[in-house]
Formats: sequence, C-alpha cells, structure tokens
Amino acid sequence: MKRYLIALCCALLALPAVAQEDALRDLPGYVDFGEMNSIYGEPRVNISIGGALLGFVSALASNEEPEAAAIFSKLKGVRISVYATGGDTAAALGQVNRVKNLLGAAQWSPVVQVNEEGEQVQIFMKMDGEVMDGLTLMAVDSEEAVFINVIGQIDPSELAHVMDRFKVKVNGDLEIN
Amino acid sequence: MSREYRQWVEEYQDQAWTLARYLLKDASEAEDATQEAFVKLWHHRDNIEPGSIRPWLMRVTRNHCLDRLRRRRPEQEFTGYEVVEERDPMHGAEQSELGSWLRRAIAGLREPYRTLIVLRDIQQHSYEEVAGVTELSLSQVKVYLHRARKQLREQLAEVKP
Amino acid sequence: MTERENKTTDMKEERINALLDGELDNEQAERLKRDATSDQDLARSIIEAYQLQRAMEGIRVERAPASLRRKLRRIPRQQRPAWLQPAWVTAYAVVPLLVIAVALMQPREMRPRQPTAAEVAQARQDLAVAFAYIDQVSTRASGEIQSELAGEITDAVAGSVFRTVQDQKIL
Repeated sequence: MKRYLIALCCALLALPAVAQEDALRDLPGYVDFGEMNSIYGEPRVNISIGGALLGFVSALASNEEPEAAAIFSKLKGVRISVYATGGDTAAALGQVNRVKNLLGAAQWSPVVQVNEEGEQVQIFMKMDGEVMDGLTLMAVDSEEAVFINVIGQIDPSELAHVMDRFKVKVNGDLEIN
Repeated sequence: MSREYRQWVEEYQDQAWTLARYLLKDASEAEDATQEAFVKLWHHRDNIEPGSIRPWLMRVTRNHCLDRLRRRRPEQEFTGYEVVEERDPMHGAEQSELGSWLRRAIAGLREPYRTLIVLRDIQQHSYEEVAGVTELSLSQVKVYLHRARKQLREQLAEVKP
Repeated sequence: MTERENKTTDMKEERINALLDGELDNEQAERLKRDATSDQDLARSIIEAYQLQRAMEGIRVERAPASLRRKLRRIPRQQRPAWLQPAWVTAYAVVPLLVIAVALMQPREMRPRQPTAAEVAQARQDLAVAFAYIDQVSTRASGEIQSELAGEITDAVAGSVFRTVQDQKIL
C-alpha cells in the first residue's frame, strides 16, 4: 500500500518532473545515470526536484528553518532514483562503473569509493573553487541500487547541518502519512 | 573499528561457519547461529583481548549452536551432513568419497567429541584454545580427543577397503 | 569397558596422539615404535591414526556461503543506534495546505508557472526522502572514511564526511 502511494505521488508529478529534468541537464552539476527501467523495472523511488520547486520550498521554510531555506535557495536540483536489485547487481554495478568513468572524464573528484563483492559505494563532487557545483552518490547492494545527484551551489558544511535537522525520523519502512 | 571488525570477519567467518555446520548440520540454522555470534562480537569488541578474538568467537558460536540444539524437538534431528555448495575448485580433495564420509562421521559424533575434532583436527586450534572454547580442562580435552579419534578410526577401518 | 580398560586405552591413545602431534621426543618415539613391532593392535592403531590424519587434511575449513558473508559485513551498519540508522523514511505529516497557500500568496515576484500547493508539499516530502538516502549512502561509506581519515571523523552523518574532506583540501 505504501509503495503504491509512492508510485502514485511520483506519477502525479511525472509531467512537471520531466520538464524539470530537461531544465537541469545543462547545469554543470548534472549527471546522467542512464536508464535501468528495462532491467529492474520501475524504480521504487524516483524524484527530480528542479530549481523552481526548491525555491518555493525555500520560501516556505524561511521562517521556521532559515538555515534550510538558505541551502534550498542555492540548490538547482535534487534527483534520486532507487531500484530494487533483487540480488541481481551486475547491471547496476556496470552502470555505476560507466558513470564513474564519465565523471572522471568530466573532472568530478572522487570522495569515497567502496568496492566489495557485489557491493559498491561511490561519492563524487564537482567543485567550483571552494563550493560544490554538484554531488553524486551511487550505492549498490543486493537489495537496492541508489543514484543521487544534488545540483547547485552547495556548501557541504551547511548541507550537513541542515540535513540533520531536516531529515525526517527513520524507522522500518517508507511511510507517507 | 569497522576495519578491524571486517578483518575479523575475513579471518574467522569460515571457521565459525564450519563449526556451526558440523554442530547443527542444517545450513540455514548454521548461518543464523554464525550471524548471532558475530553480532555479539560486534557488541563486545571493546571488551575482548585482541589475541583472544578467535577462541572467544568460536566459544560463542558453539554456545549458540548448543542452545539451538537444546531447543530442537526430537523430530527435528538432522542426521545427514551434506555439502551443499561445492563451487570452490581448491577444495577438490573434499569432494572425494572419503572426505564426504568423514564429514558425515564427524557430524555424527556426540558432543563434545564433535567440537573437539572440528577445532583441533580440522581447524588446527591449539589445545589451549580448544580448552578455552569448550571450557574443559587441558587434560579433559586430550582424553576426549583421543576417544573421538579412536571412534573415527574404528569407523574408518570398517569402511575402507 | 571397565574403568581400568578405559585407562589403559586412554594411555595408549595418548601416546599415539602425542606421536601424531609431534610431542614425543626421539627416545619416546623410538620406544613407541618398538612396542608397535610386538603389539599388532598398537601397530594397527598407529597406522589408522595416520590415515585419519591424512583424511582430515582433505577436509579443512568449509567456505562460508556468500549470503552469510554479506550478512556479517552488514552487521556494523545494522547495529548502529536508531538515531544513526539509515533506512527508509517516515515522511512528515503533510504540511497543511492552507499554510502553504497563504505562504505562496505573499511573494510579489511571481514566476510564469507557479507550482501548486500540493506540488510544493510533495517536493518537501521528496527532499526528506532524498536526504534520508544521502544519509544512508554516506553512512555506509563513513566506515571506510573513518579508517582512511584516521579518527578525524567525529560522527557518522554526512556532514562530518563533507566537512573533513573540505578541511583537508583533498579535492
């Protein structure tokens, strides 16, 4: 039931999400993860939030969470896709390696690279001087493949602090109240 | 600390698994018991002497297995020891008939003979370590080990041409 | 077997096993071999003991299955305290649409296409989901960073990772 709700929410946002995605492609911090629906089916999470929506979230948060609002106002996009791998990680690992090579060629800097049997975690940053233009996180294990791209002017120290406060409580399963 | 733990996993997971397999015979239960032992290791890692990790882990693994055996109902007795995964070519010798017979014979020993054979003869723990794992005295370990080996020898003599 | 017979057997077995374990000195080993030439049972036992030892060498440790290996590696991550636990997200209670509508009425500069209140609320939830996944991935990686950056990480959340990397000018 919960997963259907997520799918419904994602479907409702499908059209504007496509439009938002197109607007993000030309930004320096954007990363094309490629397509994996044909291998793993519909992603269990598929989020693409562009600058416009982030701006309004920022405006909304300006009174209660001014630090969060400041962060969001500088973000141009947040994209995340999560696929259920069901133990078949070969395709996802291949995709991670492909993207890793592309990022290297595009002068993204590796931050963390974890390679284990059947599992990988890769984190890359694109820097513009002292500030990040983009952040990419990829993680694959036997349960899921996660691809995250945060685009925009990011100050990592501010982002982490806001994440602590903004991130919702985590527990067992994905719920939307 | 995470790296240290990962090192322990690399070094000892096969031994803990092997012991659990011989004691429980059922692969799925052995997997659970081994996992429980490593969870305990993670939680108690700061309280264990660095040189005592292996015997500590083997003792906990054995205790978890014995608990499971005690909770088993009589009709749940597993009599066979079948090697389910035989993928590793390095273990080609194990695939011989004698190896299969021996594994079954060891699994058929009663405790503590079974544990003693696994720890000393298969995994090559020292007598002192074996005593620590089984919580027996050194002399008890040696006497029981002798009896266990004698039992296996006699069975082996019956099956070998 | 009587207690006496048991003791005799145990002593014999002790000698045989000491021979196999290399615990007999030369004199003791020679004595055992001499005894074996006149005691067929002893000789047979020694031979069988060597055969058993060779057979044991062929069945050393069994490799743990891949499923178990994965579970064991995940234990540190799974055993973290709940407040550090990366995982699925429990989304916010839906922000009252009335509050959103009022907030959206305030700005004077309007873009050509204004998101609806529901879209903004959804974006807020989506950001929470995204941040939770960022935390999940970075926490998985933080174990490696802890060992690589040798104690400069003070907590496991993403912020410390980024701060430390930034401070060290690794990039």
